[in-house]
Amino acid sequence: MNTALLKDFIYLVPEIFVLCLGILILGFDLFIPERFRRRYIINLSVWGLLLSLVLLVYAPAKGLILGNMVSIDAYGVFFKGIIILSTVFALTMARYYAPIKDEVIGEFSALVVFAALGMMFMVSSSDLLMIFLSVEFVSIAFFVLTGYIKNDPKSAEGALKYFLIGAFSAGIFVYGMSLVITSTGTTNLKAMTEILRGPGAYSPLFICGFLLMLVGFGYKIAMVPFHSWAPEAYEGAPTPVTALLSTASKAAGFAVLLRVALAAVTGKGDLVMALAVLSALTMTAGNLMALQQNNVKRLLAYSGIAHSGYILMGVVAACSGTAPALGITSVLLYAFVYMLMNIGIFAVIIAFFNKTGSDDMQSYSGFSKSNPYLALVLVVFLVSLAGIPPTAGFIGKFYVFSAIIQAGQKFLWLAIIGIMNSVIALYYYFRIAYFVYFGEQKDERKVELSTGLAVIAGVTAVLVLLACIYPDPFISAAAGSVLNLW
Amino acid sequence: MLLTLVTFIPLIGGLALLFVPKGKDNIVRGIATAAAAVALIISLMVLLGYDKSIGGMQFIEQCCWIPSLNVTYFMGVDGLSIAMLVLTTLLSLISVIYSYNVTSRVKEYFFFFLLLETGMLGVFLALDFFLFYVFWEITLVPMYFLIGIWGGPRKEYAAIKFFLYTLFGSVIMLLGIIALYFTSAPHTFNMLELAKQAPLFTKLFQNVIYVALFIGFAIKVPVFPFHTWLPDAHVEAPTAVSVILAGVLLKMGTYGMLRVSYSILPQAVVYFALPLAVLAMINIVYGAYCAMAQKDLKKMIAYSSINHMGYVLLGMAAMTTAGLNGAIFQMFNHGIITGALFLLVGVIYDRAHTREIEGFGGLGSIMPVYTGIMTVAVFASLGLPGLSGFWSEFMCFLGAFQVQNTWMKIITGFSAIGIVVTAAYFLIMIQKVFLGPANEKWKGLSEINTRELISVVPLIIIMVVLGFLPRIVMELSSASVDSMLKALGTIKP
Repeated sequence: MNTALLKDFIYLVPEIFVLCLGILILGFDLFIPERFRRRYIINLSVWGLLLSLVLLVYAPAKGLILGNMVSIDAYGVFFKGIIILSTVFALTMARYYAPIKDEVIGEFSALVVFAALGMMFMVSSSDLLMIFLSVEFVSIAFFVLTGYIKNDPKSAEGALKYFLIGAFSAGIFVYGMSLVITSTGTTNLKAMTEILRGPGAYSPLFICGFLLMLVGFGYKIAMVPFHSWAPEAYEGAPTPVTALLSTASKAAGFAVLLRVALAAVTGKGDLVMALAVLSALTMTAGNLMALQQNNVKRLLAYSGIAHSGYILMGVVAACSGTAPALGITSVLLYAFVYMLMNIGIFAVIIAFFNKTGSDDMQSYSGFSKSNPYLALVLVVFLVSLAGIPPTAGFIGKFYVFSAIIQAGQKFLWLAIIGIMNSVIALYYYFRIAYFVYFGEQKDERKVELSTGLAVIAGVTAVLVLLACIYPDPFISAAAGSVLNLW
Repeated sequence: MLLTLVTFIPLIGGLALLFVPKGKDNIVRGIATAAAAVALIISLMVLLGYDKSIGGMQFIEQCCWIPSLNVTYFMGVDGLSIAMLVLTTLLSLISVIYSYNVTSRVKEYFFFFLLLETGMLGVFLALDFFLFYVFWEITLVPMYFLIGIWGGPRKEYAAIKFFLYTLFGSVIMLLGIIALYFTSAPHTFNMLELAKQAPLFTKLFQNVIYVALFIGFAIKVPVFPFHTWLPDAHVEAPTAVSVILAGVLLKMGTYGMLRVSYSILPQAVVYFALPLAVLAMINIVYGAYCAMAQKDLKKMIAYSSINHMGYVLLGMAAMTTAGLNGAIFQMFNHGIITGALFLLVGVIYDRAHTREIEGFGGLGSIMPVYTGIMTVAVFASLGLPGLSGFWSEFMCFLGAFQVQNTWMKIITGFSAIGIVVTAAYFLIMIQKVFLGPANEKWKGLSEINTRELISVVPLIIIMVVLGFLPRIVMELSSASVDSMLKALGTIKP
């Protein structure tokens, strides 16, 4: 190994730090008595991750390192920020989530931290091989995490489904990748961009390969028709893992997809149109299926599919060639905003679950009478998910719609489908509000909100409102991360 | 600062009352009343300081909000909005006072109510399209809860229907706003700036955007055939919320058309003048006949709102001095008159627990004061000379008839049927409810009480005063209307 390569590791300090943190947690787990584990191990991981967030902010941007395998850029840093924040939130939730027992909390935390590490590599990979390795790294961690409640058959079912579909899609993904590599002669995204500018680069082989790779990405971001694992995995998984799956994992998936799509299909009309069709399908199918759900976690799984469709609109705009900057900004912004509101609503759901042991929508009846303030916070998140101001969800929606309209008249139909979908979405989000506010009160007990959950719900609620009332820092952060791409 | 204060004082009041301990409902009512009263006082200060002779924006407040999108926090008031500002704060205070009889979940009720007031005021004062849209949507959520929690038997259905309908309209409007933003150069949401750029927009583009925005506004007004949410929402909503819904929320639609379409899309406005007039005619005649067919008193007044908003649309379609001034005046008058009518229906419903027109009879001898007040309000609504409603309706028709276009004259002629039918259904209602032998069943009904009088009487006084001195309101809008017509007049259809 030459010294130049070695020097590059200085740019990976946050990743190396997270790796050490994971190993430290595993070691710690052996020595701490069981009754202290919950508190100490979670505290250690949370503060460690927060420290890595600081390292991340101050780590210098460099560009391509390690033989062009990894790209250290502001784009990656933005997504890493999303990943670490949602991991911190998810671990805090896990501390107050009863079904995860004290004796396993150590390995659970370590797995979560390793998953975060994998995702951090995912979002900065700039080479197909690196992408595949990191995607698999993350997937394996999540297979285990999803099935963590051993005595719950639903958890096992979810994990098995997630694993089987994951294994299949990974196979297809690799096959597609091999076709792409054969036709372009490179695994590197930067080199591929240049080769694809040449005449006749879009051979049928390449197009087949790219479409097969889309299956792999589609699985990761729960895009229709590769979404079928999501509802079962979301419902069965421990709720903190669901929160992580729906925010960090999805954001990481989008980061990779966008990087690859920008390199592979920018300005290639019919491939972009294929993405647009998938976007329309994803949001419509997700919303229509969400309409019939009675379990809040399943509903959020389907709504998450719909949101994937919205973010795909941003991807389409980014690759259309007419609105690249706005398109990328909208994806970044939406991923962040979606993380905030989803984490927030999962915190409320866990608090509710701890009291009632139910995720059923009907059991929320009369929630606002026993817990007026928590109900109001829940409504803030619902309003945000529905994309209505003054909440972060509106800013995100505004940006993806702006991007798709700037992309040109060719995609106007997609904007109209998106608009129709946001009306459908309102109906099922407010079905929850319906039970919370209009339902007959069944349970008079107050939900005891533990400090950690209160902090998460409070912080995310304030951020959700702030992101619309004073959105400039958020927008600037997202827009600034676009400029340094490549 | 005044405009920002008036907009956000209700919100501050609403947040403050969230901290009142449980069970202290009277403190909650006090805070809500104080916030609404302060807002009314500030709006009156704005009215006093308002210079009628200037057509442009006054009390302008502008500061940077989202620089990356070139969005500014931009508020101002002119002849189109000054009357709406005072109407909103006045009706809000009156509704808050009337709402003292709400006894369940008082804190949440007034919180949502004050949040709604902030949203409405923001819509009328915002001059940046982004800001306008944010306020526009903010009105939806509290309204959903106000209807859904405190409403009548089918409240949940009415609430979600209202929400879905209006959201559908506003998201289509959002697409239009974004398209306008990207077409303007440099990209801007500033309404005054967009109006200056209006000549640069192609005719086709203007027409497409006009339709997109129109759907959003028309659902709010509501214009036939988008009106079906209104009877449901009105009938199920609690009294004070009906007052706000009919008195202020519907005006957001017509105000939006005047503020946005008339200044930014003048060519499209000219192009669509005749279709708008046809819709106005349908609203007037169809609304009137529907009102006549109703057996429920509240539903009748709900349909009469569709009918009366038709006059506003007719005046707007005319694009003459009398027509536009009449339309703005009619918006104000309809707010006052229909507000009073809904309050009065609420009074009788609270006592009798029914609104069946056929079920009453001879109330005139049982509740003489109430009957007198109701009669004045009804006469104002059907446009009796000497009361405010007459002037605005007269001007809308006059303005429409002045247009040198045969079709326009025919449409105006047919619309006049609406006036006759309006008079008919109101007089039939008066006869069935108040006249004739007193129905034994209602002998025990008590007379209108002080709280109800405090909320209704100011509205009655305004109707009478404006009946003799319509100038007070009409003067407010004339300068702005003149400058708007000057811009519209240069366009050849």
